[in-house]
Amino acid sequence: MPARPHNTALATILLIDDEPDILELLKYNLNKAGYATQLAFNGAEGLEKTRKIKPDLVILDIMMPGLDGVFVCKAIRAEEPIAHTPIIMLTAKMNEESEVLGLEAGADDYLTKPVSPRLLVSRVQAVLRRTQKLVDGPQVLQFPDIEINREEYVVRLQGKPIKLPKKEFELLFLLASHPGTVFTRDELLEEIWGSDVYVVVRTVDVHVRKIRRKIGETRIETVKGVGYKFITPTIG
Amino acid sequence: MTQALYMSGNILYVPARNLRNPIQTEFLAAEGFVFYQIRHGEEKVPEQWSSEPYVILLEMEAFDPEFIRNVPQFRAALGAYRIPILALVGPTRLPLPQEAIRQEAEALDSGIDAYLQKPISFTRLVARLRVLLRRTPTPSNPLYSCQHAPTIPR
Repeated sequence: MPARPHNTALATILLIDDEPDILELLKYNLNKAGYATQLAFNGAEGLEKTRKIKPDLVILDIMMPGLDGVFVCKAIRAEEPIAHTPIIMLTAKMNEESEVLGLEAGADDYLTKPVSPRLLVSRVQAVLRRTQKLVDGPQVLQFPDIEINREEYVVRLQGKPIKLPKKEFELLFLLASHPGTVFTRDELLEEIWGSDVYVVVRTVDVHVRKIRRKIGETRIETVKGVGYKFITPTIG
Repeated sequence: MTQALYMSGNILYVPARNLRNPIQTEFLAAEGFVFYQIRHGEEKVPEQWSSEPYVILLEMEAFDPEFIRNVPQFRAALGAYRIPILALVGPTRLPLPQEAIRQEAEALDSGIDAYLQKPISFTRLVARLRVLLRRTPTPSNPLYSCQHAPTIPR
């Protein structure tokens, strides 16, 4: 079981390859692992579909007629808002030079054909796990009297900076990313500590208590028997 | 973009106790990487670590199933829940490639982020370290900072 499993039911993977048989094989194995897939049969179509569907991950062949994989990878990296899309290159080129070239073009991983289905899924899972948290949304949450800045790992309460330890910061950031949404303790444990860590759910309570001491009692509300939610601060 | 793709950063190097031929970190240091070192079982994040990007480089003499199973505990001991780990493993003498694939998949499923077998060239190792480093969010690594994304999907 992966350490912090990506929610495969929500992940869409765009497969770009000019060989239909390869596409079918990839599609079959990834669908079987619970991922949704979209197909593109050349580089230009792949780039267009990346813009259109904004996949959670792209698996990209290098050697294709027209726009090759390296070009497509660089084009994706140069274009907001798709620049952060995780990319795995999958190619028949089994030399180091090609791998380094692919990675330096912006790929997150590089696999050679033929790839074992098990390894394919494990690599996909690893890349999604590693990249998911960083591409999800804004890094600065701005409310009327509080700013939660993940770039600087600092909270500013009415302009005054407050430093929180990493776990407390991540917990606050997650709650504040979804104002009004209730998170169960288990959800918070999973998101902040990961399913690989052996901590009890009451750890969440301790961290929430510490956060409240620093930013005020009213911003994180306890939903009895369920969990916690962030209350959007108001002025006046 | 160029800065992000070619960036260097802090590496926490964790060689196994029984390691006979560790990598030459001096060569990597010459590429701009800054090394901190601890040994297996001495998990404590160096105080110098701050918000700068970092990767854990874990070097093993051979695939160690017990250690791999305990990667979550290793992360917990370091407080390194989201720090990418690159495992560098000694050359395999496995008779079947399927066995090597199984080992790599097992390592990845346990929370290792990248798995490489020696012998590995310096160039390839540097490229792999940079791949992991450039996903670390910092103010100086703007490529993957997505301030324009409207909401965080649940």
